[in-house]
Amino acid sequence: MDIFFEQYFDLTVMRDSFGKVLLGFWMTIQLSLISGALATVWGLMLALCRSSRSWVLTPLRLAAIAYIDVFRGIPLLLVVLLISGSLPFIPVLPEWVRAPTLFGQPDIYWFGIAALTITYGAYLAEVFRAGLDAVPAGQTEAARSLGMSHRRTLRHVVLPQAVRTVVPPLLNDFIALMKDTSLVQVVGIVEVVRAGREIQGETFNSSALTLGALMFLVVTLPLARIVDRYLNVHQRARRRALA
Amino acid sequence: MTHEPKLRVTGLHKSFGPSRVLCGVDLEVPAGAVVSIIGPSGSGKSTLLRCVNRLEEADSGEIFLDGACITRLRGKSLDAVRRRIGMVFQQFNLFPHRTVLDNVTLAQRVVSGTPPAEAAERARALLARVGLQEKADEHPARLSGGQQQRVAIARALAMEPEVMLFDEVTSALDPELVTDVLDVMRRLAEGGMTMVVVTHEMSFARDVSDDVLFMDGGVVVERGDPATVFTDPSHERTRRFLDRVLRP
Repeated sequence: MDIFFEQYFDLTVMRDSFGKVLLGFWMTIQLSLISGALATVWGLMLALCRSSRSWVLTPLRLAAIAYIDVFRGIPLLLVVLLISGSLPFIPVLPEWVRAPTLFGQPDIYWFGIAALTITYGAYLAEVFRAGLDAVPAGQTEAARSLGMSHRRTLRHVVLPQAVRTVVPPLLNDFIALMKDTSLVQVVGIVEVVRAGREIQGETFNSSALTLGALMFLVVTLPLARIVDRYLNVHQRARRRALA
Repeated sequence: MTHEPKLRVTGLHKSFGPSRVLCGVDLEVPAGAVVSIIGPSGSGKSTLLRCVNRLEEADSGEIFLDGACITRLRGKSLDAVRRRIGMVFQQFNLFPHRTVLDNVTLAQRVVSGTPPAEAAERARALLARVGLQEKADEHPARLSGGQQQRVAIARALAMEPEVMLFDEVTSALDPELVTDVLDVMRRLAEGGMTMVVVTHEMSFARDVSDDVLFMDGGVVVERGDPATVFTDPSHERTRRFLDRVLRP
């Protein structure tokens, strides 16, 4: 039993590796926040394309459907590899795509963020679409009958309601995205799991990884509670609305 | 000089897939008149109303507002025409994420560009008119159905429409809440508003309307002043319908 405890909860290893693991976790947080924000915007754009009813936008709608189907259906790890392994070697691409160095970050950093955004954009598009579909048609009709244009109806009536209903699934996907940042370590980014693994290799002890897990929980547990709270409040409001 | 009616509909046809909902409907609403449309459910009453402000596209036929054809307007000019036609729905369709006051001011602010203070002032006056000034800061979910429907009427009036369309506005309400909504509509009619009212409230149709249309199977079976239609209908179908709905 002691051996078990030592393998996973060796306080000395944890203390010695704390700085490095925390640095890795900071990378995890950066990747999560940046690709989370980008994927939210991208996903919303995809959902709006996909939900468009106008026949003029049919090509856009079909493209959005194809995109979502493809990137929901292939592993994130594969997307990471496809991007980082070949983009630098395609000379026709502009420099900022082949070797992005925005804000002084290395290209692998942006390749990782691109892969997360591409894949999670597809997931979030489906979440947003469900939210848009959940807004009753009567809302649009009421707004249009007041003389509001399609655009203003979307902006002032449909989107605010859609976004409210999708906050819980959005947060759930954000938790999933945060955990999936560990996959981009294959391109060489040292995030929390990679950092823990390197220490594991040096010490033959997993306590640094346990430490990384604890750091994840510090963020994901409160997020999960927020989702629960939000759902409760929302359900109560809905029950009241139907009563 | 001929008097062009406020609203005129000629030869309206509409099908949903194989089912023919409107089969050549004509309608004339003079300025300041109240026209009620009665008839069994599925007779096309609501579809007719929805075609008038183009929430549904008619397959053929024309719609005129003040003599101008609005049947094929699109984009901005359609939005502009819709501002002149207020609509109230069976299911209220208030914006649940906005307060009562915001519901009434929203379109004024984003469509007409009315300054917020002015829009709010007008909204409060309208809410007072429908007896709900003290509910201005509540959300719609806190209101009864009848109150929500009165807010919906105020919201439509905020755009200062020239015609108001009422689509079975009391059908989703508890019986004791119907009176308040009908009172608001009655006062609106007395104020000279041009109104088209699709309704199952026969007493309203009889007492308030200038004209009553009886629709069945997608056509106008009978039209006339309410006294004649209700007491001495000339068509058997009208008589049967009235017998059924007026029997207590």
